[in-house]
Amino acid sequence: MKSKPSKSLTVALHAMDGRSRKTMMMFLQTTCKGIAQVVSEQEADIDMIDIDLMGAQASLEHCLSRVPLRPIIVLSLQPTDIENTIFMQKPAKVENMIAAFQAARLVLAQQKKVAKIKSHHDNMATKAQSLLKPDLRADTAVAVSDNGLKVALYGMDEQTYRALTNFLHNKLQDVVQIVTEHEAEVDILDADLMGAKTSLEHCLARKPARPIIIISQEKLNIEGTIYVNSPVKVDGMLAALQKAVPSKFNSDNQKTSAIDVESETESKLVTAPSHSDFVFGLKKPLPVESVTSTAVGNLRKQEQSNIEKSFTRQTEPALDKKPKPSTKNVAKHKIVQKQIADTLVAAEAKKESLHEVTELAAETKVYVQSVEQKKVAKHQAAMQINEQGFSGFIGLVEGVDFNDPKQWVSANYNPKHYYQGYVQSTVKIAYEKTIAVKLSSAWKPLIFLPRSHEILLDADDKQLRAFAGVNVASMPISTTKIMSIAPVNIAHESIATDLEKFQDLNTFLWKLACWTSKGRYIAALDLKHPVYLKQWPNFTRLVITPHAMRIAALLMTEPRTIPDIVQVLKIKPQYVFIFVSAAYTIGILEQINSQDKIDEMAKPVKPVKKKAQKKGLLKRILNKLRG
Amino acid sequence: MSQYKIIFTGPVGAGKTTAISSISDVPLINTDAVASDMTKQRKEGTTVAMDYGIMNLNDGEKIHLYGTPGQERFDFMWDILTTGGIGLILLLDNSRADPFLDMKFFLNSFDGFIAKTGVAIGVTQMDVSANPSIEEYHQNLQSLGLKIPVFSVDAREKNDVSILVQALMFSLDPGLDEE
Repeated sequence: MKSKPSKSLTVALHAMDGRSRKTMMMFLQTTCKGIAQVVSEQEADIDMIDIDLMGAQASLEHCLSRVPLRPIIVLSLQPTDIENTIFMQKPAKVENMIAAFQAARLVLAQQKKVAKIKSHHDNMATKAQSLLKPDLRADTAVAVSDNGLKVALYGMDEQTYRALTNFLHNKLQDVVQIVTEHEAEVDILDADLMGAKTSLEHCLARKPARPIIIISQEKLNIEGTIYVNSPVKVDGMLAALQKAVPSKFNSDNQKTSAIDVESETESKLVTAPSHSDFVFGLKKPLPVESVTSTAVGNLRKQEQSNIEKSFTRQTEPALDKKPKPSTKNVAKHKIVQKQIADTLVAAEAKKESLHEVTELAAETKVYVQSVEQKKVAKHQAAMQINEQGFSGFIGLVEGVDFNDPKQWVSANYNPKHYYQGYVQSTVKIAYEKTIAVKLSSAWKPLIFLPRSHEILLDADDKQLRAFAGVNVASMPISTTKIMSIAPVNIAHESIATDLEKFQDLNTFLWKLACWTSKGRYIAALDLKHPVYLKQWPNFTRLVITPHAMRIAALLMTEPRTIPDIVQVLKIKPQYVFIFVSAAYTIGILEQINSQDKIDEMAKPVKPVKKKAQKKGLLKRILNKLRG
Repeated sequence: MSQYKIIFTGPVGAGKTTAISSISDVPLINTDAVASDMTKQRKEGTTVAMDYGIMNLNDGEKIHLYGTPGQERFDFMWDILTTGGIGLILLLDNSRADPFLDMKFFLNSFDGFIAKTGVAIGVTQMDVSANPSIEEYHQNLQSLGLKIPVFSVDAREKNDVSILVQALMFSLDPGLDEE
């Protein structure tokens, strides 16, 4: 026999933007088809919240204060233990989502069972009470209408909700009826319970507005609300209801029900509730009062002070004595509070951190005009040079036949003989002393700013390329002597304020090395020893010489000697020489000189076997990207 | 014809949509697009929840460019999206409070896919927030035992996105030829 298919769960999504909502809906319509569907908050069986989001806190509080409480699925990266919720770890997997829905289904089934029993008990109690006190309703209830005022209850845990429901059913049966939020004419909420602030804000924001009755042990002055003292008395609630919707009470009823708020206040202040009266909440008689203060914030303060008290209500309510706090519940509640507080603290810390970083970034360019600060010169740095354009862009070295491997030994250069060496010395000094340093020469002055790792040079690339290739060491003494490195006070320098003149250090050094190299390798590198890359070069901000990416990819997998790279990739040696020179200059390429390290690093690498089809595809993508 | 995909992922605001737009040969289809007339006949709003672009190759082959939704809660979609993917482009917003945490989260979430294919990381918003630096990203990755291309990227710049995807291709196959 086939089992009856279970009805699809209805889910309300909270604190999600449009895109997130659509995605979740798509997920539920496809992967979870038939298991759950997204509906409005009013229609939903369960709530779903991603508690990692800032806005989720209010949503969570709102959902937790819902009466009756319905299953809440919370999504989070970190394991959390929030009472009355079903946790689902992110990244969310389909099977986890289904398991969460099954857990929600179980909760709903349990709630249904409890409600059925409760309903039966309520009916029995009503019958018994009416038999014992046939005149009670006539004394207390005011016949408002056949249906009664429609009220919705908020900010209450299950026990509190049940107690107030019993009270209204028994004492004000003909005056009010408890309905859903959607149908209600009046909202009633308990301000002493956790989440009351959220519920109140929710009610106050309702359009069109409707009367709000707030119940509290302490006198509250909140604009737009009607205050009822806790423990709630029949007269007090009646007075509040009449104030909320006067039109529902006829003149006769007003006379008989004594809805004079002020006079009632005085009379009830000293009245101790009798055991026969149904009292809701703790016994601390206070007047019924309508109020005018705008101090909504007071509610939060009170909310905090009442945390312990509110959670005592989760135990079976004692009608005529103050219930003892449940240590377990208080502890759990404190965990929830701590989680919320931690979230807020973390958010603040993030804000502060971001602020500090932004400030620091701004500080480094205080000498640049504000408009200029927004410019980004870096995009001009990245350029891909193909084989055809290589010689034209890089320049040629005469006297070396790169096609002859025997001549490779002499195809090197010493940066110290070139402008590159002086720039590197400048950078080294600036970093050591953490001060801005100026390199003066027969050419343009160069300033290096160690904090922002930037070079300031008032020259274009064409001029730099020309000067980079000049062997300074071979020039007359007078020219080399004029090279000087000295600390510089930026404030006193009449330097250009054009941000285009500022260049990232690595971007600058990389291209300076390329133009100095002209296809040779740095003399410090030994052709016999393998080299390796510590990290990928930041290619989007560098001159990309021919095959640079291939060389980088190869050297990221394992160390290789320079001739080996030439051989493996079957490319011109100049392309390898220039790459290793530039990478070495910015410090991301190193050479292994000890045999031990060579053995250690030269771990056998499994050749990556790509299918010919895939290899062809990657190549076609590459060609497409390179135009 | 085979369906090849390149997946773009990263936190909200990292520039996934912009990056795909930069290299797509067709106007981007994204989640905010209104439903087409045909779709409207069935329901009011479309539920497409990812960015989608196409790169047309010379031989008529199409490379599908998919951008995952940024919110972490939608990572259940990632398994579906990555099926048949060539590789992953991870974009990180450097102005976020903890970009390393984002990086670890996405690398961890896509670890299976990355192990089978490859990943390249583009760091956006570096002009807004220079820290952490690219070097610090590499240090962080090395502590995780990873050697991944990490580039500064302006997602609006086609060249930046192109270089990032090229690096992904080369990291997938270092022996790849250039023409």
